[in-house]
Amino acid sequence: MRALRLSVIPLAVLTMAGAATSRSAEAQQNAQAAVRLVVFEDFMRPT
Amino acid sequence: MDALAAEYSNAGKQVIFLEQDVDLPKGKRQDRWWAAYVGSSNVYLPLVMADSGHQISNGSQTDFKAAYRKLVDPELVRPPRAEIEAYSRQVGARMRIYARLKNTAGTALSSVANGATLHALVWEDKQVGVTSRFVRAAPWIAISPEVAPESEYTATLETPDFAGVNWSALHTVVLADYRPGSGTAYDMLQGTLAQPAVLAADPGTVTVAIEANDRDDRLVPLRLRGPYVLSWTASADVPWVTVSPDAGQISAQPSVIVAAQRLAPGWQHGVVTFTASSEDGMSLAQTVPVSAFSGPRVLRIGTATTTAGSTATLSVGLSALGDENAVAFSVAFDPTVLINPSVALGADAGAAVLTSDTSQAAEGRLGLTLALPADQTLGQGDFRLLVISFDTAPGTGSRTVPVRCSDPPVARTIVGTDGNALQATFLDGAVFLTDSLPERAPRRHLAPGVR
Repeated sequence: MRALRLSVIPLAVLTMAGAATSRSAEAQQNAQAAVRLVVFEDFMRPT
Repeated sequence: MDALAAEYSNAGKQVIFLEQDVDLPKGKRQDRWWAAYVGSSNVYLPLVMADSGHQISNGSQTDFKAAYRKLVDPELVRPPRAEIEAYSRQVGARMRIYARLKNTAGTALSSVANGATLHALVWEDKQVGVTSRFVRAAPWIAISPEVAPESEYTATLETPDFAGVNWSALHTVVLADYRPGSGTAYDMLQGTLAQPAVLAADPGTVTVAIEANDRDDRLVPLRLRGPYVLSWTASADVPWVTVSPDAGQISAQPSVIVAAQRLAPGWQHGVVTFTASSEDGMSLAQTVPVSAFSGPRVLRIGTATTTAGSTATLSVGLSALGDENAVAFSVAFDPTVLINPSVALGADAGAAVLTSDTSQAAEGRLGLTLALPADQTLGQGDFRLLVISFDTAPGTGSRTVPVRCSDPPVARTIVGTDGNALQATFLDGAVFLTDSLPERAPRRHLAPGVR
């Protein structure tokens, strides 16, 4: 017979943790989106 | 430079390397190098710059790649100071570019005050000069009137007629620059690769599942993307879908609305069609398939038939609509008949974590919480979430022992990925105790060939 886990985590806490993770992922996505595109230009004389 | 371009591309870093003929410069790009140069001595070819002259160099290098990396790498870690969305299309022998810029520089941008300019660099992947990325045109426009911080500016740029180019090898990068200080040097705010001028919708499909007793419509925001000059209209081919607004400029973002009360039980499918046009001749369309499911969301404790003095095992199932992230409920039972409860994850529980509250087990109440990782769901369908086992007390006589969904110690609720409680039905289960298990009917064994 399997023993019951005794730790109790209220659902509200789980939900808050989920929401916080979600917000963190959103912020990370925004940060990833805000990346600079670098443009490197080379002025040469073809030989 | 081609090797460097491959190196940065392979590393997933956004760097565009472009070549121009120093004697036939396009647009105002070479001017940016000279604006940044403050020396008085002679300069030597090549002239190179990153980000409109924020980094410059000139002359031969003993190690070109190492020298150019020193110009590029510091730029990569700088945050952009504008958001640019750009699209391009061929119009006759010209490339027409549509750009939308949002000013995030924290200061107003204008040609008069700080030289703010929008450029489009159209290059061909072809060895025209030294490298295989040669700029064919660089149209530009002075940003005017002033664009306040967090405001937007739109412009259409167009190249001169192209002759002898391979259109499928042409690409366009749109960039904005300005003079940030009192000096003459420019800095690039941001650049972006222009996309083909199409109408796109994000998300590309809409799927909703609505609990059968939920009468509220579902609203799914969409993001339409395309050249800033587009105007669009929307239409749906089924009566249970509407779009609001149903027409607008490309900057007006619509929502797909699924009317819960017009859904039939089960799955149904429709299509929203967006059509867009512009005064300069574009005519584009995009379809968004919409699927909707109407049905009950049910958490069901199963039943078990067994004898007294043995073991009863009940399955807990969920008829899920696809948006459930966590399930919590309590099980109430007669602790004098059903003893030693144990709970295990069911076959379909996936990555869910089970938490049990046994504080009231002696009184016949068990709290159970099953939570998936954030943003995860089981999907739509029927799932075996838990298995609850009891020892049955010795005794005689057949009877039914209810195993009810209850609230203490854990209130019953089903929570969606957004953290909100979802409408659901909770159904009780039972253990049927019999004096002895019913015997199975004996199987008929048929001899081979006997019918």
